Amino acid sequence: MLDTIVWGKITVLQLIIAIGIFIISIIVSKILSMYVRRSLKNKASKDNLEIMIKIISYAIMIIGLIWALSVVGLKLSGLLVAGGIMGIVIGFASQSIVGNLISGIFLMIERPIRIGDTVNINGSTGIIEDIRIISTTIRTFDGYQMRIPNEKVFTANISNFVANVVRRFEYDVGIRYNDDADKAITIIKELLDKEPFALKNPEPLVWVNKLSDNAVNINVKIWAPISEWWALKTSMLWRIKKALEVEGIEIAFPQRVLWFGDSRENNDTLPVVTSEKNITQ
Amino acid sequence: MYGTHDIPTSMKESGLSLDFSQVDYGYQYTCKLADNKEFNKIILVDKARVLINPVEPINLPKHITNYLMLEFDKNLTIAPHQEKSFFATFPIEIGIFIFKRREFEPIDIISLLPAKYSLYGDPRIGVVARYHKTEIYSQQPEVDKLHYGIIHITVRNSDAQWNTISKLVLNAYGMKLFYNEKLVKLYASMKINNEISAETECFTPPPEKGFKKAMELYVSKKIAITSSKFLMMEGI
Repeated sequence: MLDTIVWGKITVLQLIIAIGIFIISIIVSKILSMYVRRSLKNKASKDNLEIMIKIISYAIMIIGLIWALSVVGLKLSGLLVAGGIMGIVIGFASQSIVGNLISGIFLMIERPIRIGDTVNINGSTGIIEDIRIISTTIRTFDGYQMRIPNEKVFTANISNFVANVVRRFEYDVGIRYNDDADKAITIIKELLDKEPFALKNPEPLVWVNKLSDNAVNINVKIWAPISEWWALKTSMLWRIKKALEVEGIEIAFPQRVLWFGDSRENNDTLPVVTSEKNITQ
Repeated sequence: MYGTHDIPTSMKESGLSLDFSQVDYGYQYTCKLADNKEFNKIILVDKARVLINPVEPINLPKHITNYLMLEFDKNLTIAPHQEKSFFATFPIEIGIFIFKRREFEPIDIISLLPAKYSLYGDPRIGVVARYHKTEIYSQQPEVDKLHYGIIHITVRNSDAQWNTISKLVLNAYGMKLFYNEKLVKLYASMKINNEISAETECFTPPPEKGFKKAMELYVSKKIAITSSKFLMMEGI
């Protein structure tokens, strides 16, 4: 029964041993991956650890495959020759897979993105969940998972929002023309000085950057640690507004004064606007 | 306030009030700050003790860095191959540990000083550090031990040229703090390599009478420490 030839010179026994070797190599790769993950969990970054595990896992499976093929009498050198035309056909058919595979290898070497990074890839923003050999998975902020082939990732414009240790954000705060801009700047600087995550260096920049139609625009530029910038950005603007209001400085809103010709005694004289509420002719 | 205490107990100092009161299921820990902010925690234990001591000042308001940056109020210019020591201050964070036999567990970390962070280096390869501006002292100054600690800094200029320093960045991991009833001390060294780089490290001094070594927060958490040195490569 075991000596029965199934194909060419390959017997049932050889086939069973080959399949067994390949299955064992998969099991060994899984066990070793688990062991490496457990023992290096607190000693290596998640990103490095996952890449290391993948390399170990694929290496063991490839060794197992080559061994299994040699058991059934298939030598790699023979396969290369026998490949011939079939190889070309398969090559054309699987060029996208090979492209993704090569891109995946280059992504792991060049590392423009790492597991856990917040990125934008071709307009899709989210957190990198995994970088596999063929594809990359990102979790969007809406909570769904997106799989992007590595070839697309590699050739796409990638914005990595967490590549640096700090990040800057800015606000434009428009105050009324009759408010004291110097005082407003002092209030904002004091507020930023008390905020731990508004970095001391690079120091925040607070300045009047535009005299616009309805307001004096104060530009506020703040540097924050990359882990804290979003929480700070979403809270700081309202805190600035409240701190200004406590000191009697209000945020300006668009307003327009309309004059009707028949409401003036002398149509040839334009009114002089000295302040919002004080209009003389 | 620093030291080991039996519970239930209650203590108050420098606007900080700590209370461990017995309840049916164990103890209730209450911490009150000068601004009336209050923090409570329930501890499920029959009998235990508490240890209150200064810990590495990198935890509040959030542990986002391992580095402490001291900026000096004056620049210090040091001669070639010269070694000099001076004193400065650093911010204190108070660790509250509960322990039974030899198992310690941090239950709270308190700071009476506002925290501030700064970037050392450039945004790409620099590090975020807990920032503290300090005066320079030739003699050990008197400070409130719940607010500030004293750092004894030994600077050695190994360069053949004069160099000027304005700051010191320390790796807070492996930081050894010592305390007694009056003050908290830390020892650090700075070896200047050239005008832009230096190697810094906290070290353990010879035993000093009356001083106890503080329980290190990260040792108590069993986090593996690889190196306690820091290489300042982005200016000194």
